Order: sequence, then structure tokens, then C-alpha cells
Amino acid sequence: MSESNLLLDLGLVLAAAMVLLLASRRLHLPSLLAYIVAGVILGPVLGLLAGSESLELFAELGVALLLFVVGMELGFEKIKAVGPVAVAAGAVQVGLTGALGTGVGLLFGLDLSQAWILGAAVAISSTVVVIKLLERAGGLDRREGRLSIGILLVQDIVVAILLTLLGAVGTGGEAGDVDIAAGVLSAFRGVGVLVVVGWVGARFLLPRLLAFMAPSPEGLLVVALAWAFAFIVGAETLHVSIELGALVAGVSMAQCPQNHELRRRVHPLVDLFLALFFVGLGAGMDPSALVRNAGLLATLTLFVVLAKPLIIAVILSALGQPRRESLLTGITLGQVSEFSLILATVAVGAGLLDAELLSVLGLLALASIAASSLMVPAAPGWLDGLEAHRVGRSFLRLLPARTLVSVPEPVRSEHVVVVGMNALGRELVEGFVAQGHRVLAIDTDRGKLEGLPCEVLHGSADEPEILHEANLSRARLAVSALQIEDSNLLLTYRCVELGVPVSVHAFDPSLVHEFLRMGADHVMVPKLDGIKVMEASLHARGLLG
Amino acid sequence: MHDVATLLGAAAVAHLLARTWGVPPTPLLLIAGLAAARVLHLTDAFLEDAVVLGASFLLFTGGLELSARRVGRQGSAAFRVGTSQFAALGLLGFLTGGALGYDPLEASYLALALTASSTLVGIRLLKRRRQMFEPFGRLVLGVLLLQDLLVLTAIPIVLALAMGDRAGWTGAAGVALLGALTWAARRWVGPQLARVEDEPELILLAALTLLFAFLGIGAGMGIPLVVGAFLAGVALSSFPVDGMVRSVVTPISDFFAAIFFTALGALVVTPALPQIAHAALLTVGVIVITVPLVTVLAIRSGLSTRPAVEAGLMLAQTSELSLALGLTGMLAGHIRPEVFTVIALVTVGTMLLTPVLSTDRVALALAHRIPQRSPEDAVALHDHVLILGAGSTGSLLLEDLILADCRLVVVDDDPSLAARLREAGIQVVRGNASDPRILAAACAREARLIISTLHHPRDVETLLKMVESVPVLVRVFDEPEAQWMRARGAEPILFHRASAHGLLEWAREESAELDRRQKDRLPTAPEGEPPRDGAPQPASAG
Repeated sequence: MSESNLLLDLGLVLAAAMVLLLASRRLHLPSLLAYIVAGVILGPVLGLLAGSESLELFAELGVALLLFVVGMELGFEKIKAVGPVAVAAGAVQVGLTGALGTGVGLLFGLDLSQAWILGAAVAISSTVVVIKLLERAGGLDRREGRLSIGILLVQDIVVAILLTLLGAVGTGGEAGDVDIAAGVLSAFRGVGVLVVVGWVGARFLLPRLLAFMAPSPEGLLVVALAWAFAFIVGAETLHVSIELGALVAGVSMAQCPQNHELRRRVHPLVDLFLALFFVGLGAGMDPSALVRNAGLLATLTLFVVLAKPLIIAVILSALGQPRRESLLTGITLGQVSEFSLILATVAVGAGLLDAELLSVLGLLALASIAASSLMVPAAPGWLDGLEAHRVGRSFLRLLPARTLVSVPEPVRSEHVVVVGMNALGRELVEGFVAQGHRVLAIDTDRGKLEGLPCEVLHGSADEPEILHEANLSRARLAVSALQIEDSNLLLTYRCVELGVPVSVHAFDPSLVHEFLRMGADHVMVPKLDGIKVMEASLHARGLLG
Repeated sequence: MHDVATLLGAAAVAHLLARTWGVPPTPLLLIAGLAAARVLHLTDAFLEDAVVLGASFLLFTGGLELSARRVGRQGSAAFRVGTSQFAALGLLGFLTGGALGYDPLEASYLALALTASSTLVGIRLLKRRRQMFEPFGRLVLGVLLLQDLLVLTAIPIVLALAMGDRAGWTGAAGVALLGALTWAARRWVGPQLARVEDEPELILLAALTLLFAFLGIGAGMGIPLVVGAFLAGVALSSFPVDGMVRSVVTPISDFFAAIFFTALGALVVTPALPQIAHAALLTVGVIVITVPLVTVLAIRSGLSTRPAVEAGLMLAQTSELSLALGLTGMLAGHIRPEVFTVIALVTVGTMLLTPVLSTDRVALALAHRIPQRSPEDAVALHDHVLILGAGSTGSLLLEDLILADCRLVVVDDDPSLAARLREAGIQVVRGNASDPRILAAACAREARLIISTLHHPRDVETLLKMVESVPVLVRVFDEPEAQWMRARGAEPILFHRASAHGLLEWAREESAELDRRQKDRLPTAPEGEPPRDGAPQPASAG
């Protein structure tokens, strides 16, 4: 009967998530919050979720797949680029924040062994939340995004060490330094093995494998996921966190040209599983702990949401990063993480932490994640506001470094978008370029985009993200040379919605009427156009009329 | 986690092999699952969960893919072909099942399993060969849609008849209810969802919630999972929401499909000789009945011979629906695992054979086997216009030429097309246009002008060698072909270039209008760089 449990649970979770997502849209709140609240409603409030294993599995998968996607986004190059600054910043930040967090714990009467675990938990920020928040605004590519990811990476390593430590201490009972050292060594060795395998794979196996599978999107996805899972299982076997395994798998794929397409394809999977994860997080909350530990919770929340970002901003500025980005990075990292909860769970299991504090941390997670969801999107606006006022500028000048003006990214405008680089598409590109227009060519086949006298974009014009990246709404004209009726209809529909003039290729005269009815401004029908040319030739020879 | 990794690993290997050998991945996924189960231990509870979810997603995607709009004008033809194939194969399955010693319920499951052709395989092949919107492609899509509907409606009825209790009839009523909900969703939910196009997360959750709602209702009324999932897909298959849902759901469904088929393979009982023999017999039966039946009916509905044969070859397999059906039956205890094994084997066999059989060469070879009814014309003409190829382009040209009262001779390979042209009073020489005897029979040297709209332009090579002073106009598809033609004295016509010039001309003429529309949309000056090539702004031209 596990079957009906899984479907029922999934159905409830999805329904609740969707309802709250709709509500959060109305209130302009991020989806993250919606999911957590959905979980709180289903779990503690209504007591509906039975907590099936498969559901937990999916949630775990979500986090792992997210890190896989992050790894693909990152790549060795980017890690190296952010490297030294992030490592330094991360190390100092964890140390400082951890120490201050421990202090708060001591202040509220906890003994040292519990306080330092609290401090460690508070120092860590949530990779999952940060990525979700940055992604929407396209912030992952900007400096604050890269700095955040870099610091998070360092935190991941710290977590790995801590988890190993706690695990070692827990099982031993009376742990000697030797055991702990052995535990740490084995963790590092595990990561090392994964990195080496990843590097070898990236160099010798992946490029050929992925290029071979590229023509079959389904096969490509399955192979890529199998690779990720191999690392996940490997990580488990080596007693390293599966998230790190997935990350290494992703990084090993970052250099391959298929990684853009893969990232886009894996995205819906990640979205689904993550929704399940956050709902699960909310469902696991214990609101009664709130009452008993209100003071501690409130102080910790203020610390995480206000003090931590400032600490990070100061460290980054001192290391030479621009002020604005330092503040943005700090604010982005102003929450605690699911790892904090995992750490605490392990500590409770090892008898080092009160179960009560686990609930406190859970509520802290909820509160700080909620605060982050609201603050991160609003932060650039606030900073703009601050910079505009004299008082604000003096405040900002308290930070050590110089301010850099952030350069807005150039946006395409008044260009002609041509989709589908078949013979017709190429002919059109050359024609429009000759007329002096700026042209953007889109195709799903990288090979077809080579040698064109214009800008190119690799991807499928069926996907809204591609059209967004192509700045379709600002285009002068959109043209589809594709023979695919479905895609042309979709493009026509979208262009009509945006008010962009559109011309499509009709494979057959019978389709012309439908395209025009949908609002296309012009239809190309090679069969008819070519016949006209033939008939003109016949006419010239006196064979027609 | 290990189980998922195992299944995914097996699936990845299957996909690799499928790509290497050029066959659909589904049968290889089944075999990979079979192998994986023998080698590694997979917990049954997890497998069942995976299979149930996978089946739901698979059928949901199937429902999404099949929209009536894609069928176009082939609707009535599809209806004729689809119902006949359903009836014929159903009968084959039921009678054979009975003869082989299966009880009536098992024979019914077998019958239904045989009638469903594979949506996955069909659509993949059509997309790959870019034939989805040709008449025979639309026919195939229509037949697939109809079969899925027939099978899914038949399931509750068959169950009701076989089980004889009221639960079966509640199920049938439930299907009616779901059907009504489907219609309602198409009318109201679809358009609403299309409005939030730029929020893929919301579309995803809404689509999945709908799916699970249908599954829930189905479970409550005793309807098999597969029916609810399929109808949920149909509910969202209206334009434009189908494309949007498809793009967010496809990766999820791909993931679950990989796991589904491999897990299914792991659940299959190792086939013994009797099952293999039964499966072989049924495989041959499916192919031998489907191909001629579909071909004849398709020709009667107006298709030319070769596309009709291709349609028949493309429909000659059983489907993932058959597997889901067999699985449902096995889990419900209606059929023995051996019967499910037979269904799985037939599916693997027919799916593996389809890409091998449905090639151009096989289709042509079979098309030539079909006996002709009208005799060949004796042609003795001169000063005529000779048309090579009367396909979709050629026939458009013919219409205009007939109106202009030209003397025409047509050369085409397709028997039924030739027959139809002759009935319209046009002289036809039936045969291959690269055959010198056919060209001679059509008096090519005496023609005033020759036009080729052949699918493979370079087939005119023979003609060009034969003919010196006759002008030859040839439709070509790219510049290298055009140069090849000029080198041999023919006049190439690049159809796509004509269209491109048409659009460029139009864009130039409408330049002022395009400028105006642009200004309306972008009231503020755009940020960023000026046009890259520094050319004059379009606004200042014309």
C-alpha cells in the first residue's frame, strides 16, 4: 500500500504548494516562502502529512540536483576567479560569526559544548535559498552571486568537516584526538577521490559522451543524471555529503558545450523536488518550541538577519571588493541553512545537543529564510536609496573600500530575430544584415550557428527563457524559418502578445490561414513563392496566359 | 538513493546503445531493467512506487502530445483506419489468447494490449524525419490519438464485463466524469494557465496538481491510474498551453520514463520458451495485419501509395500503454506474470523492428508490390510541358497549368497518385524519373519545357544527359545543388530564396510601419550600445 501513500502525499503537497504559490503571487512574495508555509499548514497545523519515505527521498534528490546544476554553472574557471577572496572571506566569516553565535548561546545560559554547535549552525548560510533568490533576478552571474557561491563553497567544506567530527565524536562516545583526526582525514580523502574522478571524467570521457548523446535530448538528460547519481552514490560510500558529490559532478560538466541546455532541462526537475523539500522543511517545524525559547530565538534571528550580513560586508570590503557588492553579498547570505538543521540533528543524535534547540534552529531557519526572501530582492533598491541620500552615503563610507559603479548589462533593441538556421534562415540572416539591421540568429544545433555574420543564441525558441535572453520584446521583427508548425504557432502567439511583428514559415499553403488568424503579420510559403518564380519563367517563354 | 542510481545507470546504458544502433530507447530500457534486476537487488516497494509514478507521467505526456489540431484534415481518415485497426488487432489478440490457453480476462488484456500503437515511437520517428505535418504524419497522429482513447475507454468496460460486478460500472461512470472534467479544463483552465507563461514554476505545479487531482478522482472511483493520467494530459493539450506545459513537464517525464521502463523490466519475469514462442507469434501477427490494413484504408482515404505504406509501417507496434495496461493487470492480479512477460516481449520486439521496417527503401519496395488497376498510357507527344514529380508542390503547379490550358505530361512513381491524375484527364507516365526508359516514354526530348519538383533534385541527372535543347527548371533546396544544376545546363529555382526575398521586400516596404510599432512598444530610448555595425538606423530609411 506504499503506492497510495506516495501518491496521496505528493498530491497533497503539490496542491498545497500551488494554492500558496498563487496566494504569494498576489502578495508579491517569493515562492520559497509559499512552500515553507504550505508545509507548516500541512504538517503541524493540519497534521496531514504521514511522512512517506519516498517523499523524503525526493526532497533529498532536490537538494542534490540543485547542487549539480550549481556545479554546472560554476565550473573550474569561475571557482578560480572568485577563489582566494572567497576562501579568505569564508574562513574568517565562519570563524567570526561562529564565535559571536557561541557568545549569544552562552548569554542565554547554554553550556559551551551546546553553544559552539549553535554558533556553527548559525554561521552557515543556505546554498539552496541563495541560489533560488539570486536566480530569479539573474544575479548568479553578477559579482555578488559569485562571491556568495564562493563563500558558500567554503562553508560547505566547513560543514563537511564538522559533520565528520560530530559523527566521529558521537560513535566513539569517548573520542580521542586520533579518531577525530582519522575522521577528518577520511572526509578529505573522500572529497579528493571525487574531485580526481571528476577531473578525469571532464578531461577524457564527458566531452565525447555528451556530444554523442546531444542529438537525443532525452538520452542526454538521462546520461547526465546518471553521471550525477554516480557521484552521489560515490559520495555516500566515501562518507562525504551527497551534496558535495553532486556539486563535483556538476563542475566536471561545466566545460561541456551542452551544459547550458542541460541546466535548462534539469531545471523543472529541480523546481519540483525543491518544492517538495521546502514543504517538508515546513512540515517538520515544532511551533511550541517558539513559546519556550522566544528570547533566544529573537536574538538569534536579529543576529542572523542583521549582524551576519554586516560582518560579511565588512570582511569583503576589507579584502578589496566593491562596497555595494559586499553589502549585497552579505544580505544574500543572511539566513541559516538546511545544513544547520542537519548538523543539529547529528549533534542531537550524538547526545551533544538538546532536542529543544533543534526546534529553535528550525524556527530560526524559517524566520531567517522568510526575511531573506523579502530582503534580497529589495536590497538593490534599498542600496540605491541609501546612495542617493547624504546620510546613507556617510553610512556606506563606514565600509573600508571604494565604491564601484555597477555597469548595467547592455540590452539588445531594434534587432531582427531569426529562428531556425536552415537554408531559408541563413538566407534571411544574410539579407537582413545586408539591409543594415542588427540580427540575432537562434537555433538548437550549435553547428548551424557557425559562420554566421551576426550574433547567435543557442537554444530552443519554444522556451520562454531563450526568448527573454533574446530580448524578443524589444525586437523590431521576429522571423521563424522553422518547418515545425507547433513552434511557429507558439512563436506567433507570443509575438502577438508582446506586440512584436512576426513572420513565419508555412510548410503548406493550408496553414497560411491559421497563422494569419493567430495574428502573424506575414507568412512565407516556399512552395507558393517558388512556384510563382517558375510560372514567371514560363510566362517569359510564352507558355502561360 | 542507490536504487534510483542503479536504475538511472541502466537507463543511461540503454540510451547509449539506442543511439548507437539507431533504435528507440524504450525496448532497450526494458532489457536493461531486466538485466539490472538479475545483477543487483532492488527493493520491491520502491520499484512499485517508481513504476506507478512513471506510468502516470508517461501517460500524462502522451495525453499532452495528442491534440486534435495536429491531426488537421486527416480526421475522418484517421477514424476509419484507427477503428479498423483496433477491431482487427483486438480480434487477433482475443482469439489467439484463447487458442493459446489464456482465460477470457487474460485474453482481453492481451487483445487491448495489441491494439495500441506506440505514441512515443511514432512521434519520435515523425519528429526526427520532420514528417509530422505531412498528410500521412497527421494520419498517424490521428490514429494514435484515437487508439489511446479507445483503449482507455475500453479498459473499464472490459473490466466490468469480465469481473461482472458493480465496481466495473462505477469505473465506467467515473471515466465519464473525468471526461467531463477534461472538457471543462480545456475550456477554462488551459487559457488561464496560458496567461502566466513567464512563470514556469507555477505552470509546473498547476499541471502536476491537475494530474494528481485526476489520479485522486480516478482512484476514488476505481478507475485505473493510466486512464486518469492520460485524461489529465488531454485536459491541457489545447493550444497554446500544451507547448508551455510540455516544456516544463518533459524533463520530469523523461526522468521518470527512464526509471519507469527500467523498473518495469526489473519486474518482468524471466521469459521461458512458451512465452517467447507466443510473443513471436503475436509480433508477426501485429505486423502482418497492421501494414496491409492501414495501407489499403489510407489509400482509399486519399493518400498516395508510398506515404500510405509508411503510415502502416509506423503503426505496426505495441505501445507503452500496452505495458502500463499489462502492469495494471498484473498488479491487480487479473493476469499472470507470464502474460505480462508476453506483452512486454511483443512490445520490445515490435518497437525494435519499427525503425528498421519504416525506412524509405522498405516503403518503396512494398509500394511497388501493390497491383495496378489502370493501364499505362501510350504517349506520343511533342511540344508539351513535362512535369517530373506530382507531390504536394508538383500538384500545386499542375493546378495553375491546367487552368492555363497547357499540354501536360506528368511523370510520377506513385501508383494511386498516377491513377487519380489520369481520372482527372492528365496524361501520366508512371515510373521513376531517373529511368531513361520512362523519360523516353514521356517524350522528354520533344518537350517544350521540363519542370522538376522531385524530392531529390539530383535525380534529374539522367534527364539532363538525355536532353540538350530543352530548357529544364529544377526546384533545389540549397546553393550547392543550384551550382550543380547550372553546371549541367539546368535552371535551378531556389524556393526558399524566393520566400526570403519576399519577406525582405515586405520588410523594406513596411519599414515605416515597423518603425511606428517599435516606437509604440519602446517609448524610452534603449540603454546600452548603438547598433554594432554603425549602419544608419532603420528609422531613417524609407
